[in-house]
Amino acid sequence: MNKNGYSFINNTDLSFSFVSKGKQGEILKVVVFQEIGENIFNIALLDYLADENKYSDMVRSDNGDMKKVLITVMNILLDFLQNNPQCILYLEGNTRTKRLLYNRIINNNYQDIKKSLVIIRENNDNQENFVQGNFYNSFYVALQTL
Amino acid sequence: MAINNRLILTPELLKKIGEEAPKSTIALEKLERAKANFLRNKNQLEILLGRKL
Repeated sequence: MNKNGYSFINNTDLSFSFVSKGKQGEILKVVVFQEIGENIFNIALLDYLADENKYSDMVRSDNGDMKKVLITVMNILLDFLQNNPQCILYLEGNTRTKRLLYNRIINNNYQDIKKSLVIIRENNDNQENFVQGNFYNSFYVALQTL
Repeated sequence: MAINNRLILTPELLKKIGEEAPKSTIALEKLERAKANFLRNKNQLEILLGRKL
């Protein structure tokens, strides 16, 4: 577990929250695990828009803490997988910017990540084990121990 | 967008968010896309992971 992330809270078995703190103020982030098959879960990272009581994945928070937010999401994924080691997680950025960011984070931290996780990357319906430096649209993530 | 310290994270609010967020329109849209993707790629994924899904 990376200590540079925010602390997070379980809302339910399949939903976690944390507060992003930055130049725009405090933003409540929600990570939702959505079952797409037996033991396969999609990850949705949403902002809670308190004024509208709505959720969004399109808001550009610009809170200046993206790295810390992504470390927190990674910590949540690890926590979930450690409690549910049979599960596989699916992660896809909904914009090219987010996809680039996910690729960069995984690329830059792959030596640490691969100690605990298996990452399968996907592009145009082709899947393969991780190759550093390539760009992919989405990722499947599982615990290394399985 | 920002909650600017006005939102107090009570257990009740967190429970409400935990229950509401997965049912939100945007979450359901993401779920449908992910399901379609998974079904399209299930066989190849099983090979790469070395186990039946």
